[in-house]
Amino acid sequence: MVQLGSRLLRGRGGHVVIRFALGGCTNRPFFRIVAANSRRARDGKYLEQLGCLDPLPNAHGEKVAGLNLERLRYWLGCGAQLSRPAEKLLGRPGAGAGLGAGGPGSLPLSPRLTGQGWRGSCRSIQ
Amino acid sequence: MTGLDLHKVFRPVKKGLKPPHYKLMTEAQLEEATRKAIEEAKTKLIMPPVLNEREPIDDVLAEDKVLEGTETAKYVFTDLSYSIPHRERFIVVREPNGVLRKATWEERDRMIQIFFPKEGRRVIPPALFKDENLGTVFQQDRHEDVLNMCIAQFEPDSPDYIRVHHRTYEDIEKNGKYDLLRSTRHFGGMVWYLLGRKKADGLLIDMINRDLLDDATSLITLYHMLHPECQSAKAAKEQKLQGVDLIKVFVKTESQREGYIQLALQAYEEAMATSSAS
Repeated sequence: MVQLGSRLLRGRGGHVVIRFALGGCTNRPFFRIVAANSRRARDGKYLEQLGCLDPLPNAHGEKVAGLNLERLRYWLGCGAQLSRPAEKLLGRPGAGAGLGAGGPGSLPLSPRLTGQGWRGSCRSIQ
Repeated sequence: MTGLDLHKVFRPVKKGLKPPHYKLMTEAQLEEATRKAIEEAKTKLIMPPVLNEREPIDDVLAEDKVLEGTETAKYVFTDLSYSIPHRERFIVVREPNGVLRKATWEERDRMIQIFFPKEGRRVIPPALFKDENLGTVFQQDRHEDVLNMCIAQFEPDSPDYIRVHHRTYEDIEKNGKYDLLRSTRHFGGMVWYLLGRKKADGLLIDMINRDLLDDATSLITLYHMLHPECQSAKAAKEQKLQGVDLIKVFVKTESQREGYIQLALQAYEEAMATSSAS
């Protein structure tokens, strides 16, 4: 049986979000991509872990991210929302994730990323 | 041809210290146990696959100039769905200049090892497999260990795997240490390599010196199957030669070290004559 704390039981339910939960140590962040109730704590109990992201580049200069695309599709199909950084991350492999999930263009390049890029190029021109 | 030497296959591997386990068995049980041991040994001696080098992946999925300059490092995305075989996994890289491409084979192997670790494999291949260090290991006669580590570390079609294997076979052939691999699963691969490059003379001499005539004849039949257009193959097929005659025909037409092989054959025949006479 699901035990809901008093904060969650107020008659108006929260919704499922896919967001980053922060872990790691001082000066060493590590994010887990997680599907959780929106009213839960950031690092609290989640429904399912869908992947991870290491924001610091490794010895080969790469930021490693793993995504469980099968379960992501399921949760997005159930109507989960995305947080802003999650949207940006999932927008990066836009075409690749679409191909991987089998559906054409299921996660197009996020508008936030395009906006950020456009603003960056304008600044560099000035 | 690999040879089934039970003492070598079941050579004690370094494990934790345990006192030896003694069992009291009848004759029939002992035979049963030896039979099972032979079957287990045969499974251990199955040859690992010999494949061609894999083609490098060079696929660009998308180019988004808008993303140029937003990031300083590249992002590597790995699909972590559990039920996909590793060969079909999607691993894509988004470069800082906005190009979205499929990951290269080395990146793929590294990512798969990070998320789905396999025993005996390291994320970054050990320094042992560099050419300079391989020489030191060969001087210690540890070819078999190197090849076992190589099988654990690399995929069979990766260029590193093929390079290490070829180096090992070359070194064995140069020094004539064929017996090191005799009762292991690497023997087949070595024979295939040598026959493909027509360098099997040393191996032939070694076999005759150890009185393994059946192995020598199977070696030459395999050679004929690989190179059916050579002279000795045609001669053998016409005259349907067997045993020592086959070796003699091969020696006359194909080998580079004729003198040595003739000497070895003579010594063998003398030994056979003396043993049958006495």
